Amino acid sequence: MKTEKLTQWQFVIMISISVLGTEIFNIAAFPAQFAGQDAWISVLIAPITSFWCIAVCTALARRYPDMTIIEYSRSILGSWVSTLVEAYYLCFLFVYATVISKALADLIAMISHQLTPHAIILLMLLAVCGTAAWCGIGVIGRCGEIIFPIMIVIATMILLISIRDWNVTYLQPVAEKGLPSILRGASVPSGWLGETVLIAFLIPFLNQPGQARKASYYSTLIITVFMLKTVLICTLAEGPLVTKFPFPYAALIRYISLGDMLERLDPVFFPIWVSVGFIKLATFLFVACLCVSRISRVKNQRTITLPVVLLVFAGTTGIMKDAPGMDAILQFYVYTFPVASFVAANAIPTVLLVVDWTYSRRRALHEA
Amino acid sequence: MRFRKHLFHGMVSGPDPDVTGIPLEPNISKNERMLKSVFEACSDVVIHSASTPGQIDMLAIYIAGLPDTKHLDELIFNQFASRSRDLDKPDGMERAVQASFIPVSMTKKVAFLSEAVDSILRGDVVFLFDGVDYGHAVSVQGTERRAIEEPASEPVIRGPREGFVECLQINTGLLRVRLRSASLKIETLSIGTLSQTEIAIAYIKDIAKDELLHDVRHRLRRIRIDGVLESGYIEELITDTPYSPFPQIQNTERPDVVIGSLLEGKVAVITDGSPIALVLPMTFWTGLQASEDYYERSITATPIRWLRILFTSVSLFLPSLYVSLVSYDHPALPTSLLLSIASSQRMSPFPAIIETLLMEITFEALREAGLRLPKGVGSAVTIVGGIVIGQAAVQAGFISAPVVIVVATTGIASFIIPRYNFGLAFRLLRFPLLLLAGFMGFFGLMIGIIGILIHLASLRSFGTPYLYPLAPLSMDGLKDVFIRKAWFGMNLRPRTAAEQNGLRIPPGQRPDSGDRGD
Repeated sequence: MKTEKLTQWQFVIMISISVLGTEIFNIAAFPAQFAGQDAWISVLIAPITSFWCIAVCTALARRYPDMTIIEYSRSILGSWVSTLVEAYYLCFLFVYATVISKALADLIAMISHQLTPHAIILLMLLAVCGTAAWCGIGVIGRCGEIIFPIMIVIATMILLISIRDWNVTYLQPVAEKGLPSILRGASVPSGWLGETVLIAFLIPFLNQPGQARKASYYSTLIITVFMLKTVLICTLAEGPLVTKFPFPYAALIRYISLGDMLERLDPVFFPIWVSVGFIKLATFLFVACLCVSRISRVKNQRTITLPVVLLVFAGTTGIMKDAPGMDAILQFYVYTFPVASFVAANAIPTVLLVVDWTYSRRRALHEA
Repeated sequence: MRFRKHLFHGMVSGPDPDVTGIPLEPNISKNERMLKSVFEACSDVVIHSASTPGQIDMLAIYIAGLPDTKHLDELIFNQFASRSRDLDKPDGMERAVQASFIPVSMTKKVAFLSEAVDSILRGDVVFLFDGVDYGHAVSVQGTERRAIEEPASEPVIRGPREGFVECLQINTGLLRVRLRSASLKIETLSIGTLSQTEIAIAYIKDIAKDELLHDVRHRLRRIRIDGVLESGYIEELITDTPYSPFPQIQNTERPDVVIGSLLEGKVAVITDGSPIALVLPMTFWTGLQASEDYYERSITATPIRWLRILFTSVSLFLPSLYVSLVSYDHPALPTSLLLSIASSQRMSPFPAIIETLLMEITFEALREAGLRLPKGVGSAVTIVGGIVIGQAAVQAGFISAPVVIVVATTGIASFIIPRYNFGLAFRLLRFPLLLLAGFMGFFGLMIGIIGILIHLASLRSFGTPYLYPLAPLSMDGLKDVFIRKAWFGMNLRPRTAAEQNGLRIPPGQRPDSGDRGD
C-alpha cells in the first residue's frame, strides 16, 4: 500500500489541532493558578520549548530523512540504549492517548451526558477515532482541513460574543506576582506545546520534508495565538474565578448568550470543539500505532490499529479510577505533564542530536 | 463451493458457439450451412438467397427489424441491377459489388465466419457471393430510435435542450458537434460476453491526464460480465469504493455537461443502449453543481450554490438536530420556542425520535410510491399521503406538528440537490444520524458527522480525493466550489487536468478592463 503524504497546510493544521484539541478547554486554568491575571504573559513564554523542540527535531530529520525518531534513535544510540528511548516514547504516546480520551469523555459526560456510562461514550469516541487512525494519516489530514476553518469561525464568534462580558480591570495590575510565578505558570502550557514532538514521527509523511521547520513554526504561531486569545478572554470575562473551573473556556461558552434569542450557545459550540478533540485523539492514536509498528517492525500499520485502540480503551477505563472526576487529570496536568513533555520533546531529541553531532564530527576528523 | 466455482467458470467464456478462426469459404452453400448452424433456432435471422443478374448466387443475411428494409431493397434491386453489365468481365463481379455499395456510408469486408456473425448481430447486412471467399458487411441500420429530447432528469431554464439517447453513435455525434477538434478522442471497446455492448471512452488528448486514462482503460478491460444493460453496471464495476452511499462517478444525460467536464480534464464513458454517460473522476462538490451555474451570471450563480450547500446540510441534519434539541439539549432553544414545541409535543404519545423516524420513513415511502406509479395515480398518492400525514396525523394527536414541519422542510431541502444519485446518499445517511441523535443527542450527532467526514475524506475517485479542492486545499480549485468565478477569472484548469495544458482562458479578458475601441 502506498503511504499517503501530507501537504504543508495539512501538516500545519494537524500539529495545531493536536495541541489545541484538548488544551483549549482548560488552558486558562493552569497559568492563572500561579500567575493570576498575568496568565497571558506565561502563555507568551511557553512556546520556547516548542521552538526548541522543532529546531532540534527538524535538524535530526534533515540528517536522517524518511526516518521517524524511533529509527534514527536506533542508528544513533545503537539498538540497546535505543530501547530505553523507544520504551519512553511508547509509554508517552499511550499515556497521552489515554489522557486525551479520558479528558474528552469527561468533558462530554460533564456537559451533556451525566447519566451515560463512561464506557459507552469512550467506545463511540474510540470507534470513530480508531477508524480515522486506521484509514491513515491522509484521511486525518483532510478531516482536519475541513474542521479547522470551522473551528476558527466558532472561536471568532465566541470571541465576538463574549466582548460585552469583558472587564478590563481583571487584567490589572500587570506582573504583580513577579517573574518566578509567571515562569511557573508557563510550565503547563509548555507541556502542551511539547506535544509538537509529534513532528518527529510525522515529518517522513510530509510531501516536502524540507518545509517541515517552517510549517511547524507556523503551527506554533497558530497555537500561541489561540492560547493567548483563550486565556485573555477567559481572564477578561471570569477574572479570579478562572482558577476555580476545571474547564474555564467551557464555562465561558456556557455563560455567553446572544441577546434574548439564544440564551445558551454551549450545545451548539461544544460538539464542534469536541470534534477538534476527535482529530487530536485520532492523530495520537495514529502516531501510537506508528510507534508500535516501527518498534516491532511490522510493515502494515493497519494490523496494529485495533489492538492499540483496545489497549487505549482498557487504559482509559482503568486509569485514575480512584480519584474522583477531574481531579486526577488536573493533577496529572500540573505535576506529571510538563516534565513528561519536556523529556519527550526537548531532552531526548537534544541528546540524540548532540550524540549524533559528536559522532559525525569524530568520524569526519578520523577520515581527515 | 465447488458448484459455485463451476458456475463462475461457465460465466466467463459465454455459451456462444466458438467460431473464431474459421474463414469463409468460396463455396456459398457451405457458408450458408455454417451460418445456419450458428443461427440455429434464431427465427429473426433472415437468410435471403437470390441470384445476381449475372446468375451468380448470393446471400443476404440480416436480422429482421434491424436494417432499414427500404434502403436494402433499393440497394439490392436498383444498384445491383443497374450494374449487371460489368459482370461479364474478369473480376467485374468485385467491381460491381463495390460500386453498388458506394451509396452506403459504412461497408467493410468480412473474411472470417466470426466477423460475419459479429456484423450480423450488430445489425449489418452481410452479402456473400458464390466463388468469393469473403463477404461484405453493409450497414444500413434503420431501427426506430427515440428522438433527441430534453433530458428528463436534468432540466434547465437556460442551456441546451439536447439530451443523450440510447444510440452510441448519435451520442458521440452530439459530443463531436460541440467540440469540433481532432483532440477529442473517442475510443471504443465492447464489454459483455453475451451483450457485446459497445463502450466509448471520450477524452481530450493532452488535457486528460495519462495516468487517469490508463486507469480507466485498465478498469474497463478488467470487466467480465454477461450483459451490460445500463451504464450503472459499468459504474459499479469500475468505481473505487462500491460500498459507499456516495457516488464516485458522476452520471449525466447532458452532452454539454460531458463536454464541460472533458474540458476540465475528465473522462467520459458512454454505454451503448443507455442515455446516461459516466463522467469521472467526480468530487463531492460536483454533486452540488448544476450545469446552469455556468450559464447564468456568476454573481447570481454563487448565492444559489450557497443555498444548495445550506439545504443539503439541512436535508442531512435537520431531523436529527430537531430530535437532539427536543430530547436532550433543550437549553439551546429560546424559551418561547421551547414552550411552544413542548405544548404541541405534550399531545403526542411517542417520544420525538419515534415520531420523527415514523414520519421520515413514511415520507420516503410516499416519495418512492409517487415515483414508480403511473402519472395519474402518482398525484393521487401524493395528495392522499399529504393530507393523511400532514393533517390527520396531527389532528388525531399521533404526531406533533413541529415534526411535520421538520419532515416537510427536510423533504423540500433534499430536492435541491441537483444530482439524483448524490441526493440518495443524503437520504440514506439521514436515518443513522437520526438514531444516533435519538440515543446520544448532540454528541451522537457529532459522532455521526465525524464518521461521515472520515468516510468522505477516505474516498477517492480515480485518484482524486473526494473532497478536493477543499481537502487537500487548492486555492485555485476553490474558484469553482463555494463561488463560481466569472469565466474571465477562471484562467486555469483544475488540478485534475494534465499540467502541460493548464491555461484555459488567457487573463485580461474582463470586459471592462481592455480598450473598447473608443
